Amino acid sequence: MPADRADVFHGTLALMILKTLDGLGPLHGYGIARRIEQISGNQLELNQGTLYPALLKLEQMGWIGSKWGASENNRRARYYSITRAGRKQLAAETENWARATDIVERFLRPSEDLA
Amino acid sequence: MMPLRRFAARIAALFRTGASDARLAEEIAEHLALATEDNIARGMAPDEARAAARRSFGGVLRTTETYREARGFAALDGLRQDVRYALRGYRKTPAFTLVALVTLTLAIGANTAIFSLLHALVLRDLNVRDPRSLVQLTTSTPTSPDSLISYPMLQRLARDQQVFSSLMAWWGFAGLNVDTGGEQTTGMVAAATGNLYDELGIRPAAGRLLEPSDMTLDPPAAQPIAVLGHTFWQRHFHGDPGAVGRTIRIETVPFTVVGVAPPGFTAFGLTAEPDLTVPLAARPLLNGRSIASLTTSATLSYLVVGRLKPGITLDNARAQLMTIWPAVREAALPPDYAGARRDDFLATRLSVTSAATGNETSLRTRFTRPLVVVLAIAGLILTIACVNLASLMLSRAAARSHEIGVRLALGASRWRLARQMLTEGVLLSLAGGAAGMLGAVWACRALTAFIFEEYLATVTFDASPDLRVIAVTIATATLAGIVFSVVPAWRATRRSAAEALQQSARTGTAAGRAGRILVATQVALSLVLLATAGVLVRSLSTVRSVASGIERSDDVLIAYPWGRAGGFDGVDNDTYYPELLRRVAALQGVRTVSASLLKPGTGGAFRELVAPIGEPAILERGVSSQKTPVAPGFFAAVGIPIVKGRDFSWSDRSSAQRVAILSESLARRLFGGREAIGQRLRMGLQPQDPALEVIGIVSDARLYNVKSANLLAIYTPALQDPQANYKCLVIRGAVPLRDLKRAVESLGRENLDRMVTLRYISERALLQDRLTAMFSTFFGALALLLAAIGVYGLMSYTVEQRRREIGIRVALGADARRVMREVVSDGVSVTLAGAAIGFAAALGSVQLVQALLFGVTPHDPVTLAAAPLALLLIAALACAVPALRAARVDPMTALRAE
Repeated sequence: MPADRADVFHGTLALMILKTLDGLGPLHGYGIARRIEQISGNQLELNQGTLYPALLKLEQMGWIGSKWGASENNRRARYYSITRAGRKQLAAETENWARATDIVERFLRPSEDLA
Repeated sequence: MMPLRRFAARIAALFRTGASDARLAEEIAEHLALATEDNIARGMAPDEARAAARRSFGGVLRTTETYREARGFAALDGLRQDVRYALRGYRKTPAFTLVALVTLTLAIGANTAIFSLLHALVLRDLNVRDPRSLVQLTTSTPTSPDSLISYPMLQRLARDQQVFSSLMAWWGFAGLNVDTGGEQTTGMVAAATGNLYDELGIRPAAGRLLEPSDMTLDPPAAQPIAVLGHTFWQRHFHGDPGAVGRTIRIETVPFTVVGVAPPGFTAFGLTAEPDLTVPLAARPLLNGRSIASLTTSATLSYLVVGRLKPGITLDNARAQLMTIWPAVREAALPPDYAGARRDDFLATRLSVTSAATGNETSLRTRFTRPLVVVLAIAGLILTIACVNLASLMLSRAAARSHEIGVRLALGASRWRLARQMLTEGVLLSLAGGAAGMLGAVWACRALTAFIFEEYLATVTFDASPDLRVIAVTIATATLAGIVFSVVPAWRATRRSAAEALQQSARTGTAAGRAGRILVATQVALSLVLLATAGVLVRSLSTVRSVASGIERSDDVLIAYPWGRAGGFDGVDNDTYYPELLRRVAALQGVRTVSASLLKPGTGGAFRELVAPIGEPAILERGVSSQKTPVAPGFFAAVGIPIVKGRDFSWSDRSSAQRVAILSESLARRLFGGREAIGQRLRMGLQPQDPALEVIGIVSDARLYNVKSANLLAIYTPALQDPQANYKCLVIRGAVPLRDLKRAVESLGRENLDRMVTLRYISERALLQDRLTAMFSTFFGALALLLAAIGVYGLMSYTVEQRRREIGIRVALGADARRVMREVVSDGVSVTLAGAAIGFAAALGSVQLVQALLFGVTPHDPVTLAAAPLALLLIAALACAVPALRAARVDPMTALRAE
């Protein structure tokens, strides 16, 4: 994968993880992966393994926290939740994303607006 | 740029990699388990469910790798891996590891110790405020080449100089009687100008230190004051702060203690702490003279140090001082000097040099060059050790070539492999360096104790490695590690994977060739070292065997009485001296006893110009001779034969006619073939000095410096010398110290505590030669050992490589002895090649140490023959074990193992 696309992908993956945790509360790694696949309407086929390095980076930045908990089958699983700093970051990134798409959209609209 | 938070988290993660890896593994396992269960719930078969879960996940290994990369620092992780791998490898080959570590410890440790000593003695700045701006003033006269400044000169300089922001003066030491109020003892006393402590930034340990207002000359202060040295304070006052304010007596003169100097304060010297420091103005009191006499004193005994004004350089200062110097000298000329003495004084030259590293001329003159030579030899040993290790590492790498090939085939980059080998090398050398450093600390302490063994003053010379030396050691160790692993590392990266996987004969001999070059180089360097070390050792043995003309044995004892406070008041030496020697002669075991004003065996300090009477121009035409005032019986005591005339007797007393005894060489020089007995001569610069009549001639003797060929000696009766009481007793025979002490102290004027043999003094005088020879022997033996290891390693490797070939030959009926002989001759031929080159280089290297040699030419035939022979012999012996191994090769196993 060329470098820029990977960066964009990782950036969006981080955004998706934060949004997921913001909306749904504490989830373990598998849970986050399933949720992302669901929300994207199963159009996104990510290698679920890529989640874990992304989760690590988010944890290093202090935007999510983690602790052990019991999974659905009463086994040990690591649960992640968003932090307050993470919520702030999510808000900032959401705004950036909206602005970026807005600009691109202007260029892609029919040319009648540019007279 | 990585945010700080993430950076900190990554640093923290370095220490928890184990736990972190376990956690990730558990998370992944749980993830896959949950995914599998979901798939089963959707209707897949268990196997298919598991497979599908894995597929959705992607590569587990890949995830783990990416995770690890995000967690820590890739480079550090790699380094940690390399280190772990290296340690594992070293554990598997304990013999090699041990040899390598010991070699490196000795080589690096020796370099560190010697460099540390040299650094402390010669290179290190004084531990005072801003040492680089300090400048010292010294003088030299025709009769006294190593001299200092007189007090009148100091006064005049202080008035007229323009380049110093402050001017300090220091006088020291004199061993004087001190009454501490609780005990009678001796102390090394120094004197200083009041501004010295403040200017150097020294703070007191108790009380206060000298101040500029202490003891002015005019008006003379009421009671003199003194500052205690720290060790003296501990030893005699038990560190009691109440010592401040007490009155002590130095040579019966009362002084008030005002404070204690901090530990380790040695003023401008490097070695000894003064026991007591008094103001400069109080100095004459110690001799029983008045303070006012200072302004007319003519002795050149003060070290003057100035601090340069900002912006003034040493050259500026020198220029200005040289212009005012003639006037200073003129003003300081004592009015009663006349004739030659006056001329001598007016010829005094001023020297202006940096005082940043302190004033320690005699130690430096003695030890600097020998230490530099020994350091060079130590550096050579380190180089030899590196070459040795390079060849051993090469064999080691060749043995691992299969494993290297596998790693290359699996995609490891060449740089990664090379980095691995460099890490191995640097790890080894840093470990050796650390151990060597510990050894060096111990060695420095031992050497310092050895060098200063007989010092009377409190020695605080600290030669242990300081930060600068440690930094140099670490850098050297790292560099050494890189140097000796660069060859194997380079070879490892050159070959392709296919080559490395093959155990081909081609790669075998290629490594063998590199190994041979390394061993030959090592042998060459070893020969250079052996030759140089050899001539230095021979030099010492030659010095020891020189006929000195005196009895430098345990049969001659030298004892140093010192006068009690006021002990010599009113003494009549004409009666005291004979009585003292008579009482000592009466002791059992004493065969002959005499006295001398100079300690035989070392030093020697009275130089006088001597000329036949009537010679007007004594300054130009006088013969510079070594003068020794002695008592009757001296020559018998030290073993100098009287050739003509008579010895001194007690009738040559202070009121009698002045007489002298000459050495044969001096008599010949002064009077040619004429009869010297009965001739009269002049000695010294004062025209009004009485003439001396020659009454005897003695054999030439190297009484003081065995290496010096100056045999022009003149002896005068001790009773006719104003300094008669500063004597040492010279005894032929054997007597216990306590008997001698009782006899000397029974007269009530002197105390006696020390006695040594003339052999001991002579050996101490050769200290620098002995140290050089000792190190040379040590390094020579080490070089031989390393050469043996190198040759052994090479031949072992060669035999191993050619095992198959040897097996075939033995199977075809080759004689086992022949095989052995070939191995030995192979090893010897490599050694010969190296020795030939080394010999040529050695011819040059021995020339470099010529200045240290005595009685031995640099191209000493004994050394130049013995060194290569020793190397060849050692090499042949080192080949013995591999040769035996070659002879015992079983053809069946050799051919099978492929």
